[in-house]
Amino acid sequence: MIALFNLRHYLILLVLYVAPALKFLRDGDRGALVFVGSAVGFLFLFSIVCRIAAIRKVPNYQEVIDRTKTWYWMIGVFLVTMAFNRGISFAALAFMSFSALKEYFSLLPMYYPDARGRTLLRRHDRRAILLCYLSIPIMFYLAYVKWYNLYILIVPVYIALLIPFLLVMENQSENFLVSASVILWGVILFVFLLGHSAFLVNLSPLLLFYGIFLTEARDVVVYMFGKATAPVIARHPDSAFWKAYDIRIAPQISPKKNVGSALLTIATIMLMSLAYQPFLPAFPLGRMSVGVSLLIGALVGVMGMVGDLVGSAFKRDLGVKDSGTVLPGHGGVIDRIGSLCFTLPVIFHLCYFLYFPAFHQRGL
Amino acid sequence: MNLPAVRTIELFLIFFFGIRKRIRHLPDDPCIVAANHNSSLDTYVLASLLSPSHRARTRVLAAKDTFKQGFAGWFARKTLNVVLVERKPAGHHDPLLEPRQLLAGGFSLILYPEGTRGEPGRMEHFKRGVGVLATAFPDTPVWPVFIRGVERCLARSEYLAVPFEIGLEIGAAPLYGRDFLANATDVREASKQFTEALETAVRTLGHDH
Repeated sequence: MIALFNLRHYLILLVLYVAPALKFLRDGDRGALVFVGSAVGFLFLFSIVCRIAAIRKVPNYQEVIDRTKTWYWMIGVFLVTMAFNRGISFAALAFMSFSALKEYFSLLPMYYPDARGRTLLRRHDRRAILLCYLSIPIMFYLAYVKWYNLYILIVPVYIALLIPFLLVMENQSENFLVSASVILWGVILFVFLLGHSAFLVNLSPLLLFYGIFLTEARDVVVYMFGKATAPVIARHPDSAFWKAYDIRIAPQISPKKNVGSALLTIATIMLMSLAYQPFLPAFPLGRMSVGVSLLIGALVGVMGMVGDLVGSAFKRDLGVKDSGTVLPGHGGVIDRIGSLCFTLPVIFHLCYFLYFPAFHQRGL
Repeated sequence: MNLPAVRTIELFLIFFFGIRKRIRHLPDDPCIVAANHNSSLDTYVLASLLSPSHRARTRVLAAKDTFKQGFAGWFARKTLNVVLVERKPAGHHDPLLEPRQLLAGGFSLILYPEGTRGEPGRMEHFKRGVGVLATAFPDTPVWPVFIRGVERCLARSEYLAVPFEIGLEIGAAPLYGRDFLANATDVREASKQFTEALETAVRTLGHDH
């Protein structure tokens, strides 16, 4: 029997999970309790998988253990920051966005060329990069005060104007286009799109739990389907069915991802979404319908896959395997939350459009 | 070092920049930490390699011409308790007298053998002083350290600190002056060889990844 944590860590984890659960219990927040319960259920399942892997000495079982341990910490910290205080929740989401953006800029070769002889950032870009960081508190403050109109135009209008403004002030035309686009893409992904997590909290904190749960579940499920079907595919080289199953989506980006597992995953996520639909709260224009929950499941399935592939393409382009090392077993922050940039905005805008009258107000 | 001040700056760096390193602290024995120098933040980053009790017994060598006056000099003197060393000594007195006394008194030293921050991302050739100290104290371990990425955060002639991740590569084993004294014909030759070996060690750490 292997112990995943020492006693001190067990106690800290206990507090991280029990305190939010008690808070939700006191508030009678049935939906949040269901999410906590299913997260803990999955964690226990992973722990059992870890032990089996350790006993059977499967290759890289230490990585599975590291990954599970990091899951325990990430979910615990997430629950504790989300449960008690709205300000703390928004600060935590802002810090998540900051960590991802910092990791992104740190990965880009600057000053001297990388192994492929390419430099993406210049000395002259530092002010524009600082501007991107400074936009994070502004964006999450706007989300905190629920100022949607200003939030939605700050990046596409003001940041998009200020970045080139700061860059031309540096009086350097060489590689200007590369810098301008690379910096703007970072803000759009890791501040603007990821910042929608804060607006999901504004609609309902449960909706954020739901979005994150489905997205992260998708990452795990597609990995499991891939692992489980690989030996079956290898055993049936002549079967038309398995050949169709094994059509690669984008082999140049991610050699192993196939259509069959992607479709199975989308179906699984649709079912998961359906299972959680009864626990979502009533919105101003009514509860989420069964059809919409299936649609959200499908959208998460597709957009999560896109986010996954974008992450792979971006890392492959830079010649790195993981985006970082801060999350043992997972890699970097972007490895873990990259797909959220692609799924959360879609969930937010669909729900906001369908169930909130504020979206449809005309004026000006 | 001024422990609360250095700790505050270190926590700020960890929170907003992130310091990646494979070991938590260097051994607590008196040692010399020799690193590449690219940024004013370097010393605060290196401080994270020392345990609090070790920090209290550590001094930092700094150039007298830069750190004697101005805000940067005042700040470094207050927070790091730097030892001022003349880069171009005039007359016959020993510019390394105070560092020698400190090493003899069981202190650790942080020093930058390049002697200057230089251009961002470019390492200058090491100056001889580190070899002189290492051969004068042949049993004091000299740890080669490579600081990665800090030139993006705050390089020379910049005044805006921008968050980027900082990496610390620490040599697998320290260098000792005694190993060079045993092989060389005289002390001067040994110190020269030591300086070259140290420079190679730091460069290798930088190119490893």
